Amino acid sequence: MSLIRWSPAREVTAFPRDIMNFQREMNRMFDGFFRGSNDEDLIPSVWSPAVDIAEFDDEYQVKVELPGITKEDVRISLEQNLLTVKGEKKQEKETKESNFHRVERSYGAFQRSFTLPSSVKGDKVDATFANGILTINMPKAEEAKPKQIEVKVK
Amino acid sequence: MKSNTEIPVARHDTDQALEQKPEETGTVTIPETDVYEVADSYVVMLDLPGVARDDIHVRVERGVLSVEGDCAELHSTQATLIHNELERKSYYRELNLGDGIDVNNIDAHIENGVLTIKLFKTEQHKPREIRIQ
Repeated sequence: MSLIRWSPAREVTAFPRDIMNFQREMNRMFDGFFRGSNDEDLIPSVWSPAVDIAEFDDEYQVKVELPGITKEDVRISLEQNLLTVKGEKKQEKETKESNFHRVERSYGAFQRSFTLPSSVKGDKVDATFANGILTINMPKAEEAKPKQIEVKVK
Repeated sequence: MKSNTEIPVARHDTDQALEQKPEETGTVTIPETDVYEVADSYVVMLDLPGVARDDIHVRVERGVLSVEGDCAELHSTQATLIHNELERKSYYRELNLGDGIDVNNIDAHIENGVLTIKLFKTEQHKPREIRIQ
């Protein structure tokens, strides 16, 4: 007979997904309750697109999920290490005037801001759009790149 | 091929949109979808960010429209993810089609990660102006 090492991670992954979904739903309900329903009339709704940030030796790469958005609808700004992506997703004219059966996709203003772990070359930042994903490449400033120092042993 | 029982997919009848928005399960994401009606057709818009045109499959079988899409690898293997919210691997969604749809006349195109499917109504279901004699 062999011994099996106890792994806490395995216990967590075995936790039923339904219960986790239920908990999330409950949290959402409570959040909505305490926020009050009148707030929605005062504050314009801002949605947050999902974001990934990847680090390479010489650059940071940010990917933002923005389906249905064109480059004209998005503004990217960099203030020292603070990266902000914002814009607005407009509903097409035809869509507005027609009869909706279902609306799940997000519309309106969106914004995300991130503080990068180290400084980047602001003038070398570039961004591209492909298949509804915005990719922002930001080369690291010289002082932020990993340096290898050779230490001689005496 | 995935069967209906394996994936808890919300079904939508174009005549009565009553059920709730579906929950995400596992690595298959249910794309967010808008359905609206214009005079001659129903228009379905699905958010499929990260999916290239060649990786999308739209099918109609026995009155059910299905959309399947696979995401391309998002990050290079040399990257270290320091912030991660995008976990999408593949998308799947089914929609029940009502009687009023001409299954031989369906258009689909993708732009900026949004798949737009135009389902034309059958002649019988198109609005018609009756002229008064």
